Amino acid sequence: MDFNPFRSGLSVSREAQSFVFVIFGVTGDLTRKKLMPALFSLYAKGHLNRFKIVGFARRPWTQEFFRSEVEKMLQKPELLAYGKETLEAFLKTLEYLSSPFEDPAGYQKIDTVCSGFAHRIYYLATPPESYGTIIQHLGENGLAREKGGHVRIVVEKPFGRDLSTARRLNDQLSQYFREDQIYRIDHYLGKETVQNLILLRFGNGIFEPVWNHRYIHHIQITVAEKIGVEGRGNYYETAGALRDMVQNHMFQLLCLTTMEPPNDLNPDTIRTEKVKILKSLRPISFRETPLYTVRGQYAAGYMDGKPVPAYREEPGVASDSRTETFVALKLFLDTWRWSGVPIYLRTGKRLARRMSEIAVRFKAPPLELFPRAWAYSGRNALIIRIQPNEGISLIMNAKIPGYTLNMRPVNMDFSYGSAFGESPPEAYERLLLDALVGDSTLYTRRDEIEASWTFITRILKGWEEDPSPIPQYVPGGSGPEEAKTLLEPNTRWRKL
Amino acid sequence: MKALFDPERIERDLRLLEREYSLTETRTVLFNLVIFANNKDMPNIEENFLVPLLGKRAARIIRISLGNTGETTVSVSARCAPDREDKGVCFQEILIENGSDHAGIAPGSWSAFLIRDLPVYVLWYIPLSEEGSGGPMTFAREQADKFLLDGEFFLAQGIPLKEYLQKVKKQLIDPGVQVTDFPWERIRPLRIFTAQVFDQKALLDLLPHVTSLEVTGPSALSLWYYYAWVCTVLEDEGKKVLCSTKLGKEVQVVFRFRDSEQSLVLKVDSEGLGQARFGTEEILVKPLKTPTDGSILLEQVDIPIADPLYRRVMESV
Repeated sequence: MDFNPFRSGLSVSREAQSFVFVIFGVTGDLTRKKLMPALFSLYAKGHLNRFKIVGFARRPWTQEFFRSEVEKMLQKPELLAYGKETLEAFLKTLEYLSSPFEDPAGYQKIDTVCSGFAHRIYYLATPPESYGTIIQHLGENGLAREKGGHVRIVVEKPFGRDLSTARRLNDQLSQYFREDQIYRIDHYLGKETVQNLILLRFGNGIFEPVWNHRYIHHIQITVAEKIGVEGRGNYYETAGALRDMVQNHMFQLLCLTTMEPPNDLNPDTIRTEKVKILKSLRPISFRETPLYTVRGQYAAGYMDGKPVPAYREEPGVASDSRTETFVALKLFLDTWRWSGVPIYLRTGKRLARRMSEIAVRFKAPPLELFPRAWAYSGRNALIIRIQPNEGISLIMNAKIPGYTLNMRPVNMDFSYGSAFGESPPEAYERLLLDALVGDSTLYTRRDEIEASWTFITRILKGWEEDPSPIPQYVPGGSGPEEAKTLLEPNTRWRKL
Repeated sequence: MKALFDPERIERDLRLLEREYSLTETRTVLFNLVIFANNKDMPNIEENFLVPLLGKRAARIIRISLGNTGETTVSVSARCAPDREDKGVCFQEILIENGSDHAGIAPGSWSAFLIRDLPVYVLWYIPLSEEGSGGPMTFAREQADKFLLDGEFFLAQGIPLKEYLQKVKKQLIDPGVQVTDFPWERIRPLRIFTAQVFDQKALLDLLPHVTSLEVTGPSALSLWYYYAWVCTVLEDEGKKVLCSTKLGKEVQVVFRFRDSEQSLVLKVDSEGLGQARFGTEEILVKPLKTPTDGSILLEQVDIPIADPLYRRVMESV
């Protein structure tokens, strides 16, 4: 018999079959906070069938110690609610391999621990400096080869810090793994809210006809944070807002907002459409960076009534640091659909509030029939709120009651929270299950990474050449005043 | 003649109540849920179905309570629970207490409260009696996008299993109504587990040689649904098997095969851990918790279409 007839007509949520999940760097924070809780939750919810989880790390832990450590990682009320027997059954699937990442002997044991299971996933939960060593040893020991089952590798971000480092990592990976075996994870894509964007655009027929330069005046994408670097000054000094937020998260939002409708939901179809957007970004040459980009650093001030230090006074930050904590960009997509439509991106720390949104502002009607009662008349906008208060608002105009034809903007509002009250699954749960079942839609492809770094690296080079001082901005505000200079006439940044 | 209620006033009262109890200005309703039940069963419905749904989906709940004396009365209320962002997910509730005048159960008394263009789910907790046209079932069938039944409830009232199944088939399945029976959904994890066990090639190859099936469990209706499902699947493959069922505390399924000493045993223990063994070999161990009524209702109200496999199984009645 080839087909299992019990599967016929049975609506089954996604499930992963017979696999070994090897975590490199299993003793680290990512495993403790995200991976183990996500894997256990998937198991308890019935998404995982026959499997084994193998921890690979330097520390000389025993099997029993590893299991007791994982048990500690799962001491959360929502996980304990699944019951003791479920927890014990999960712990029985764990195995530990103690080995330095540089030692080939450790890798030679992997085939043995994986025997009896069809598929395997390698998860790099180590600092990025170890990626190269692990990839090389996996490759040299023949562990990337598929022998009757899938072999996949999941790589955490940061995926390079510019085009050349991203390419180097991609080259290392592609020496041993095919592109369809590589899963580059960006947890932002695992968020329910980001996936809703695809549903909103392509699950409704009303938006597509007006989603182009004929009807859209401009687009603003904002990801604002209220917090500062919060003790991560050392890391942030090597990153900055452009690398930390724009190259990955904000470009994903940009792609999902502007890409062409895919022909199907095949991962590569969707990713190909995203790459087309990234490749259509009009390049900003290093001379043009002051015209199309504004960066800033937060100064000392007050947040929620409490004094807060300037970025340059944060621990781990150089007193003459030129790392940006705020960036605003003016972009153009050279495509038929988006020709001439400015797209503004802005992100920063220590801003007025924590919020992420995409605001699509429509053009005014071609003929102004009604008197301009005030500045906003005739301007419709669709606001897609990502957080907080996830939802959609359509701003339209309505007549003010009375004898005259005066109008004012009103909001049509939909809030996900007031319709669906339940919490969505953790981003890692969703993404891990996708990798296990081989759905790479929410993972980043090589050409996607390289296209985004190509664009970003030009800006980084332009900034390196630009000796002008970095504008400082007051905490709790909207960022540096200079950001306003990017906007076209009659355009304002949306209030934070 | 005095009107029983003023629909416009009721809508106004609902709006005011919801505004008072919700934490947000945004008000959303996703569907109508109409509940027909005797007043003595209402507390049970409240606890098992409505409390788990509150705070997860915004809905208009219309309760038609039977078994009251005196005149029919209508009252309204609103309840909200905070969502993940501390805003309110609300129920707008209308309680119609059908009196001895039987006005409350008449379609004209509750149809005005349905929000148009939203799906209508009917939770039917009163007898599935035969009726002429114009009865409550006729109109409920017409309005319902999906009928929700709990067969266990009807069997507990003393209705024989076969009679219950025939009534469901004649009154709902045959007229083309979308139906969900909770016991069918309760055994879904076991059906999925069965399918997962037979994903293994060695067992799949044995499937044409199944000779008998023994199913043990605490619910006669669930037992029937399970073996009816297995038989439907195997009959599609041109295979007939001998089925036997036995009431028992724990769930156990035994498949026996021709020319094989070993049998396949699926078990679910009291902690909800499913285990499959072929002879002495452990095939699969995984959590297999029976879904609660609340979680089944939550799934059902998101999709107005019922499980087509259920309809196929019911055709064998």
